[in-house]
Amino acid sequence: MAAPESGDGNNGAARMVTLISSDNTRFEVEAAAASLSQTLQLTILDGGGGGGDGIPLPNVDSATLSKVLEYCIKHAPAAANGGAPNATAVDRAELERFDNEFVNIDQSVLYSLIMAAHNLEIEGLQSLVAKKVADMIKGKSPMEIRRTLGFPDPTPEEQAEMNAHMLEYGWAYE
Amino acid sequence: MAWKGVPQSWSDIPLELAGLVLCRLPAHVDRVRFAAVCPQWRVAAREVPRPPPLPLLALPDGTVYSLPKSEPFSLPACAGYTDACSNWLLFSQEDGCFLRDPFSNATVTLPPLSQVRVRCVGDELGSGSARMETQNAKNPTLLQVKVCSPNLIAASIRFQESSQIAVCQPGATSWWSMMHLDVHPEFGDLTFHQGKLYALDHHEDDLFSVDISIDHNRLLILQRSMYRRFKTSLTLEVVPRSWMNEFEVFEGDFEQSQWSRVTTIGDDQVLFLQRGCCKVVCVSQYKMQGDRIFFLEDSDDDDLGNGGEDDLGNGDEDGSQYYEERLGPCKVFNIRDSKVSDPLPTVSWKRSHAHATWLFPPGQE
Repeated sequence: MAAPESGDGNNGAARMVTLISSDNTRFEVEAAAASLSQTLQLTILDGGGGGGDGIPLPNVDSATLSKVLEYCIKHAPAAANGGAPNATAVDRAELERFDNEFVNIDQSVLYSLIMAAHNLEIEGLQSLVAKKVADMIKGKSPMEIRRTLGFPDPTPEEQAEMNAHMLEYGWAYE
Repeated sequence: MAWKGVPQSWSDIPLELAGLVLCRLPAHVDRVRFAAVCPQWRVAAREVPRPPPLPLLALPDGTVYSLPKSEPFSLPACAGYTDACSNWLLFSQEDGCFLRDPFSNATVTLPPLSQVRVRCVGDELGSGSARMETQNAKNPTLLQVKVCSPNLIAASIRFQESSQIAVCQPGATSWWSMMHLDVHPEFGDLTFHQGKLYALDHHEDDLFSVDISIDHNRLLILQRSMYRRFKTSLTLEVVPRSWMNEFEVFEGDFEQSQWSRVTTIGDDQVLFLQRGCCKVVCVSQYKMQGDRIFFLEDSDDDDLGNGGEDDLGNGDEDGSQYYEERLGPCKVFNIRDSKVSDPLPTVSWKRSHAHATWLFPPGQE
């Protein structure tokens, strides 16, 4: 009783959708991978993104989008298995290895990634980047954290607030 | 490469994302430093709900380790404590005892132990009647303190012949206690669960409850057995021996009035144990394995091979050997396979570690 998929005939080939980055680059990707994004999943379920239309993503540039899609493509099979309860230890280890490599990148790229994952509601990617950032700031002082994450130098007001906080929690800065 | 679009600054990330990072910092000290980074992160640290951090491991000389795996740092307000309850450390001085929160330096003075007002009840007084007494025992000692709420502190106090539960309000001049003249429980470990204070009678292993209020989720009791294992070679020399630690976890079933043994406390749960009381922390966000018990080597020095004779009549020389074998001040027991490991491998055992304690940062209850 299921209606045939809109667009092309369905002879086993996976359904593809087109995403358009803020700088107008078009990415063709399997619907299953794009659906890791809760936001995109709704559009795709409504039949969007197929044919020549494409789904515009005005907040995500092409470099970030290609990275996001790399993550989605890798994680789509496991996600399709409902979090992969049947996945073998080898599969899980491979995903873990991929994840570790994947976030081994500059903080500015991590920033773009987590913002894109937030906008597109890709939960797994948000937590992956958050975990990486937490690992990057563990054991560091506030100034070291600022340097690690490329913050600009603190304004005098910010510096004063930091000092006040450090005075209040002096024990954490011994 | 062009990473253009939104302005790039971690200080502008939505609260929700800052919260995701914060939730993945298990150490209290990292959370405090996180809040100092910028005003936006400070707001996140104040407003975003997050799982409790891991406790700190405190030593009586004021050295503190932040789990997992940290360099030691000094928390001077810790030095000299005799016991701990959550974020409160107990200090005993000649002129009385007080509690101090080493994070905020807040202190609460406790009534002197010479001031315990006891309400006696029991058949010998006739049913329904009671009389008030003042405990006159010499040298009472404070066994354990529980800060039940900002308005209520409970303690088990050892008098000459028995130990009793007493309660007081911060700033009060005396403790209040109740004694049943017909039964003589030996109260020791205290815990607070769903508004009731519970005390274990060390003679009978009975659990007593005292109706007072506050909230908690569940109550666990641990039965700990510790014995020495000897390996004997053909020449009957005693070769390295080790202390074996085994734990059994029981969950209290209040409807059936019984303890039932549990074989797991949950994949994401870790239990922190010290001197007869324990606390469960959820570690699902912390890259840590659950179903573990973090415990302290909290036995008295006298028991720990400092020169006394052991069962085989071997004397002094064993003491030092014994100390070398020990891991650091705390160990981890895996409930699944009963194996013991060391979470702070770089810290070697010292005698002062016998009084190490878990210090739970405030604001997590």
